[in-house]
Amino acid sequence: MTIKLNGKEITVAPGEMLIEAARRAGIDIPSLCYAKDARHKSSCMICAVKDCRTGQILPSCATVPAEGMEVDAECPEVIQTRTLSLELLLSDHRADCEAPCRVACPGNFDVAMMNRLNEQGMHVEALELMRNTLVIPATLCYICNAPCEKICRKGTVGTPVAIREVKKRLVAQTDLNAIVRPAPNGQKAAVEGSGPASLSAAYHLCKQGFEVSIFEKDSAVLKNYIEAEKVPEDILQLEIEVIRRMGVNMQCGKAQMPDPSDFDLVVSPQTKSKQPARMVLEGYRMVTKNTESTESTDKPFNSTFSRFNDSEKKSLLAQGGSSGCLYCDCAGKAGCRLRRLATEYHIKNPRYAKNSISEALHRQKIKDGLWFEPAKCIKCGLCVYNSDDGFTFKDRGFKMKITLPEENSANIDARLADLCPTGAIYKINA
Amino acid sequence: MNCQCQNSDYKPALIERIDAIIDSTGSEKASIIPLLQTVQAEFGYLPSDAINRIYERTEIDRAQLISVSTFYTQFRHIPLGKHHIRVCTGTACHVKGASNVYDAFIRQLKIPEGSVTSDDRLFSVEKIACLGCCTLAPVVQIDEKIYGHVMPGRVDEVIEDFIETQQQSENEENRRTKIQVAGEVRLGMGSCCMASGSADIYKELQKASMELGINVNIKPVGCVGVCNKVPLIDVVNVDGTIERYPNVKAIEIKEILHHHFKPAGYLKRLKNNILGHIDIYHTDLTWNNVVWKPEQERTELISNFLFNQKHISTEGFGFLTPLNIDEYIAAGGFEALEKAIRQPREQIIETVLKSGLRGRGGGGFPTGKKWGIVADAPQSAGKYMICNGDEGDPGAFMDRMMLESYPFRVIEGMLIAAYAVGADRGIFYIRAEYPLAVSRIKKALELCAERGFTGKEIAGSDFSIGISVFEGAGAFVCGEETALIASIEGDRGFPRQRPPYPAVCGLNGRPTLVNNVETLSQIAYIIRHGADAYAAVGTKKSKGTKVFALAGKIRHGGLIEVPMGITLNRIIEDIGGGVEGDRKLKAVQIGGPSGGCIPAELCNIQVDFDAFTRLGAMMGSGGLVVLSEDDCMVDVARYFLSFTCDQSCGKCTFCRVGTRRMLDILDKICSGKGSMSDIDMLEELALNVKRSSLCGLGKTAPNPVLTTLKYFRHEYEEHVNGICRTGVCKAMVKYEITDDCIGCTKCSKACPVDAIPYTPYKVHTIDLEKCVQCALCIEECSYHAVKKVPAHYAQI
Repeated sequence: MTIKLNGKEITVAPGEMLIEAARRAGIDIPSLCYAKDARHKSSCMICAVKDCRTGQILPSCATVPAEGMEVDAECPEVIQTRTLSLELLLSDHRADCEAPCRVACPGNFDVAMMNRLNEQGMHVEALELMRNTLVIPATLCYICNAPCEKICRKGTVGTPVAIREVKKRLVAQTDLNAIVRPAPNGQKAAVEGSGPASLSAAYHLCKQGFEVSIFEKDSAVLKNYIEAEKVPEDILQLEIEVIRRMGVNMQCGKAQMPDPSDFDLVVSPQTKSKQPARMVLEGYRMVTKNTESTESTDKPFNSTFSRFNDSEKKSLLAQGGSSGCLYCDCAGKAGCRLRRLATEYHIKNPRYAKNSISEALHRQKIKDGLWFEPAKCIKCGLCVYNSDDGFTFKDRGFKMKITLPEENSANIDARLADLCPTGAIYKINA
Repeated sequence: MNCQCQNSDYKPALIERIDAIIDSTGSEKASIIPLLQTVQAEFGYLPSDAINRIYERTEIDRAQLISVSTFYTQFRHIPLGKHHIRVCTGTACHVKGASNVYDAFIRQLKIPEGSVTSDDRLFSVEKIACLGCCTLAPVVQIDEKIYGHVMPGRVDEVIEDFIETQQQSENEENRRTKIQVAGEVRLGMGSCCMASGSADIYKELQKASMELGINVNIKPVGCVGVCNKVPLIDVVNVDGTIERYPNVKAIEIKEILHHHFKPAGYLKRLKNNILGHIDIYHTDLTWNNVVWKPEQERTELISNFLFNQKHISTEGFGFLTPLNIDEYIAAGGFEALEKAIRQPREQIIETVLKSGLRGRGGGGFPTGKKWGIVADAPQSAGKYMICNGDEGDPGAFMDRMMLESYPFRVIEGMLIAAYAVGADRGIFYIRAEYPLAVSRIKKALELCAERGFTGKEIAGSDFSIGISVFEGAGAFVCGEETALIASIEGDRGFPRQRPPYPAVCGLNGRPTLVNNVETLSQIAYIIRHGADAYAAVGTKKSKGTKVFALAGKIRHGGLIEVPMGITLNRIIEDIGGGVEGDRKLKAVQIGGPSGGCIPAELCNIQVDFDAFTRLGAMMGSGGLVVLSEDDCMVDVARYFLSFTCDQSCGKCTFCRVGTRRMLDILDKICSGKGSMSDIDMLEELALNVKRSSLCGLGKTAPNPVLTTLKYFRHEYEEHVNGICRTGVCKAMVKYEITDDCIGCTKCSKACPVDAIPYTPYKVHTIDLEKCVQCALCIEECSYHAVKKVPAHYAQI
């Protein structure tokens, strides 16, 4: 059988749903509540298409094409339906994609991840994560006014997490002898200056395998670029030493840059920002842009919810690891189709009042390494239809939620985490 | 300890009872709803021990039980108080102030916030979607007893009366031996009639006739349609003439009987006279405000109400006894069935197709066409015939009345339909909120089986069918046929994407014909009188008659059956006697939460499926609520939306979240905090919910908003500017006492929250901080000195 999709003829196999036929023909109709070969009931309307003859909007995941059907999957009505559906789902999505501390951090540092690693005793990994983003993490802690701590959600419940203290303590545990030089790629790079951006660029080029040299006019590295008097000398020297041991050759007191033809790459960081952590980030971006192709120019959509309500504050007061961190960020965001689509459909500030009956940051342990966070759920029911006496619906209408009775936890297969279109069911590898 | 031994006694007994219920109801997954209904009927709620026993003994697992028991509003997981007060919040009750009545009960019983049960656990108060007694609005049901016209200031009397009647020992059995029947008294016994005290009248009739020594035949009949005049009795004199008494009271019965029939002897007559007068003096005062209509309305006689109607579905109204099968047969009942089963199936379908009958459930799909599809669907395992009596619209009570009053006609229609499409199993799906309809249909089905109208080889043909009753557990969405089927299968009432239509793949995967009660009640007429006779009534594309539940701000509300093509104005003016209280007509809300508001200036429109749709409204199932200039259209839109929002099954984004966001915006507008851009956003969202929802509920839910935006946009704009002219939106008005006040203190005494200080002979004042705007002071004041004035929320 053939039908027309976006004006092109495509073939449909008997019994095949429209969405599959379209995907086979190379037209990717997005979906949330539908997954191939899984039991589902269409609900999200992200896969909306228009029947050109009747003007009706149809869910392509539950439409069996009829001979001669003409379907449009890209007209303005379809785009509007999808966009609105996303906006509505997000208005009931009481969750942050990124933790506020990371959003506030000029260096975009993943504080929550550091805390997670640290609290699981993975200090080396935590330190590595910190260095890979902030390059000179402890130094920055002394010269940054720490918006991360000011915005920390825990601060609205009790005391904010002392993020800078955690970082300083981790840096103090640095084992210089354990630092390994990355495998060389046979190329040479020169970096001008030794400010935060230059050090960051040098560090990351070094990680990519370049043989990196820094050319600094001044006699000392870094000091003239920051308020060095705020930083204890030993910390400053420690963090510079780490970069040196990574293999960065630091040449000070050189007035002129060497001949560029001696190098495969020459970097002269020109930063827009005066904020040291931001400069680190800019330095990083400069060298990753130069060497890797960028995947997407879109900044990923970031869901946020405004404040904790009183009952949430009450239940969260006792929560948090030894640092007090609530881990506001979404641990399942990597596989989150909701976020990906929100980015793709350019959802900006949600227009609809955000209110939801679900409790933010309420997490239920299903089994080891598998968690359920209802506030992120979009109620598509995939986990209900694909578990036997496992997840279930409760109540109806706007108040409807998906729950997992404790007794049913044993019936849950970890693969549901992959089926879940959001980060509501997620795995944590521990 | 003491309680432990009680527990160990209690548990096995409970388990024994649960086991008995499981054995008689079934242990398959599909039995879950009847199973839970029976458990709840036994215990008043679903005890956790009972539920655990169900897990042990049946196929029902935890996931299914949570899913189903929390979907349907009927099921309770915690015990309520001893008596249940259900305040009807249907449309008619809403526009007459049901929410104030609810608040009054909560205050009166001192129910703490967040709870629904009084501290002594005697009463629980809950809102209920619609009791289907719209002509008596506002209506309250306490256990089985229904109170009409309940005013917020009188809830104490209602509670008192209820407790009193509870205590009275029931005086039942009549020991009367009939010697000779002198005449007949007919008494309507539909739900409205019962709500108005027909049961008491019935008892009184029996008592009085015995005491007076008058042997009359007392005959309960179905709904008389004149619901605003009930209780109503027809006295058939010995000479056969009929006299009608509307709004009778129990205490008048003796006089009426006296007037028409000769009592035994002169002495007894005299004695009765005196006693009767004493009774009147006492009871009139104590009862007047609780159940009965105001005095002035009672004396008015019914004139035009019945004149413009045409009775097809309600044929035989006023004289058929609902459960008297012989009478039904004598009046031509089952003739159509006998005629039909001698015809080839195709011929019946052809007749129905030719008659132009369209489904009365709301959509208006040609009935004959639907039958044809089911008949053509191949299936060796059998087909189903379902009668959809899940009438959930607030403001509609046609199906209830039809099932209660004309059970045999609906059954006959169903049998003909089943024969025509080749169905071998029939199911009546009736809301559990209609207990009288359920019991009458069950009884009627028994009678039909006895006479061989159901069962094997009906009337000597090869047509066999068994019909059972399934009670809906309280979900409006189950009126949608795929959701209805899901609920019979023991699932949540989630509608599913069509096609495939139930006509091809329905209940248990078999072809299933789902027809509405009213549709089926028209079938017998069509078969008996022919397609042409039926098609002669109505408009070009809408044939036959339509039954409406006429309620709201109308002088004579009730159940009416009119030919298609009659104008709304004629219904309101000629049949309904115009708007109540000489107010001006503002709009007619038609089709309930799926329908829309038709403004007064367009009410010359004819009753017609397509004409209504063109205006953005919908025939729906037939609720017709009249709105006057005292009604706020934004509030009406918000009311309907809050209903659909609550009733949405929750499966799809646009309905679950979309209607909720629309309601958020409307709440904002009604509280005076809205802006002009909110109106645009509301409209955009409404159009998209309509376009992108998957089932009928979601697709039509925005209609009340869209039609009010279309015809009453200025009211929305006024609200944004902080003005609600009708004073309905509480946030936008405040109460004020004018200088007309003489300081009589009546308002002060009436105020339930002590917001009016007791200051005799001085102009009273209202403490706005305390005022809850219950309007009791306005009601009490004889000098019209209490006024609602704009609160100036948003000053321009």
